[in-house]
Formats: sequence, structure tokens, C-alpha cells
Amino acid sequence: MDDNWLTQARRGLLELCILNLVHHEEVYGYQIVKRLTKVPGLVISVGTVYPLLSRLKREGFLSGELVESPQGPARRTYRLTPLGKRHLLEINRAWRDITGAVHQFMVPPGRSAP
Amino acid sequence: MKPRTAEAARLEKDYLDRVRTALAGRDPAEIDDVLLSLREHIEEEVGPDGDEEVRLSRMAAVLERLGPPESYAPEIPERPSFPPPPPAPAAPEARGTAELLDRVWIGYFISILGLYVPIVDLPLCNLIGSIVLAAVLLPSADDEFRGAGRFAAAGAALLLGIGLVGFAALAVRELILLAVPLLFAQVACGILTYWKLMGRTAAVVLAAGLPGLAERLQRSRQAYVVYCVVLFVVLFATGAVLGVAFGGRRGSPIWWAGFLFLPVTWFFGWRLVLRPLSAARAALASPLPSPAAYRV
Repeated sequence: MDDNWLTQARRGLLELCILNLVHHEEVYGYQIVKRLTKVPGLVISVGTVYPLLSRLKREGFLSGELVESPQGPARRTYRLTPLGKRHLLEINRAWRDITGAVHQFMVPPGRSAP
Repeated sequence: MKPRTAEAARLEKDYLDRVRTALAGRDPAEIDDVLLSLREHIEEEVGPDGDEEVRLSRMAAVLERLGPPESYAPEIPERPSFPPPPPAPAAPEARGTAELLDRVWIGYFISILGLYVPIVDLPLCNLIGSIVLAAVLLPSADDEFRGAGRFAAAGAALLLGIGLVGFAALAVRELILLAVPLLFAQVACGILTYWKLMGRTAAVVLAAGLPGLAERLQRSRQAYVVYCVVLFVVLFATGAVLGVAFGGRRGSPIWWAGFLFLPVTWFFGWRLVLRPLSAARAALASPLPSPAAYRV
């Protein structure tokens, strides 16, 4: 398999995963990394997530707020902004369209490609 | 912040410095943001606050899980990595139904045009057809209409020529001679356009409208009713068939032309077809005058 293709695909989808993850609740960065790296299929590295969180914040899709934690140091929690919510709707729709279209060409498991 | 041993603190600082170097060239605020996130992450990984210092081995394990500092550099692309959403296509089934309805509608419109005009005035049909085709079909011409569009363009050009000559002839009567060949050409072109669009439908409608046939049909009320029913059934059926063959897109000019043309066609259809037919029927039903009536 072409590793470069897979890496690029994963990176592209990481934004989709993060925004969907943050959509449900306020999450702090460490939690995001832990949840994403726990999913084996995504193969996410920490070095990918934090820069992406920073970029999403810079682009106005996420807002970060420093919250004091009783267990340890202050944690920065991320929340989806209204712009981020609109963006999430768009990319979720795009993802459904793309996957729907790609599935039409997928070779079923157990059958060799022509 | 949990205390570190000197070696652990140095290793951590070295790691963060290398990340900073890897991110060199980026916005300083972004770099600080990433480093702050990393410090938070390291703090979470080394465990809860306590008196015990974080040793070198512990710090090394944490940093190893973070990955090499150089891996941070390419992760901040200048543009969003996710592709922009493509325009959502209409559902195939809905588009198919809408397209079919449009085509039936257009076919219906064309059939109405063909219902009464051949009976009343074929040259008039050619004029109207040329105008309609040139004004409506040609601008929205696609592959389906391209052939008819060329005819329409020629018809429209001839019509324009006739119009100009006609206006000129109002001032100089001799110029009317110039209009004659143009008129013939326009009629010929109009007939071609008309037949190109109408095809077999025109033949059916024209045949149904022949005066002789109409006269025979009107001798009997039952035959006349059957004739009208058949005519309208043929009209709608051929409208559907023609629509499928020559239809256009919903919202296209031809659709609106058909919509606006409907009351007009029905009005003139009644004035020019049904009323004369009724008058003819009444005349046929009345007794013929005796030959003596014509004597002076």
C-alpha cells in the first residue's frame, strides 16, 4: 500500500474527526489526543493533533479557554464556535457525498479488482 | 507543575526547543500555542502533582510517545487539508421525474401550437414558429435542440429581413418586390423548422384538421364528439412523446414560454378552430337554399 497516500488521507480526515469530537462537548486538548490515538484505524500521532488544533483555533472554528483543574495544571478546553458549527455541517455533508460516491466504485471484499 | 529532576527538565526543554526549531517560519503565536499544548500534555502524562520528582526515564518515555519533534513541522498546512464540499447534486430520481415532467409539458405546448395553426394558417404558423423558436429555443439550445436551433436562426434572420423590407416598402412601394423571395424563403425555412419539431405529430394533426374530414365528421354529432376526443387524446399523447424527445430543463426559457403560451393558445384555439368548426357545423345542419334563390 502507498503509505504516503494513507498518511495524507488520515491527515485530511483528522480535522473532520476533531470537529465532530468537539461538537458534542467541551474537550481539552489532552483528551482529544487520547481519544483519537485510541482509535486504531486512524493511527494519529500527537505531533499531528496539536498543530491542527492551533490552526482550527486560528481559523475561528474552535475557541480555547484555560480552565483551572483540581487534579493538576490548568487545562485548555476547546469548544466549537458558530463558524466551526457551520464548517462542520459542510464537511460532514461533503464527507457523506464523497464516501457515497467512492463506495460505488469499491470492489467488494473477496473479489479481485479488474 | 510536578517537579523534575535536572536531567528530566533538560530533556524536556531540549525536546520543546527542537519542536520550536521545527516550527520555525510559522506565526510565533501558533508556535507558542503548540508548545503550550505540549507542556500541558507532558504534565498530564507524567502523572498527578506530588512530591516525587519526575525522573529522566519517565520523561524520556513520555517524550518518546509524543514522537520526534521534527514530525510537528509539516502538520500545519497553510490551507485547510480537507477538500471543500462539492456542490450537492440533485437526487437522480427526483431529477429524472422533474425532467420527464418538463419534457411532457413542453411537448404539450408544442402540440397545442400544432393543433390549430396548421388548420388555420400554415404560413402564420411558420412566422410564429420562427419567432418562438428563435426567441426561446435558440438561447437555451443544447444538443437536443441544436438542429432545430439552426433552422430557427435562419428563420429569425429571414423574418428580420422581411420586417425591415416591409417597413421600407411602406415608404417605397417598389421594394415590396424584394419581400417576395424573402417571404418564400421564410416560409420554406419555417416549414422546415416546423416539421423538424413536429414531425409525425404535424402530419396527424394536419390530417385531422383537413376541411373535408372535418366536414364529414360534423355531419354527425357522435362522430364529431369522437373526433374531438380522439384529437385531444392524440394531442396529449403526442405531447408526452414529443416532450420526451425534445424536452428541456425546468426553469429554462422554453418552460416559461410554454406556461405563458398556454392561455394564448387555448384562446386562439377556441377563436380560430372551435368556433369556426361550430359555425361550419351549424351551416351544414341548415338546409341549402334552393337554386331559385341565386337568380337575379
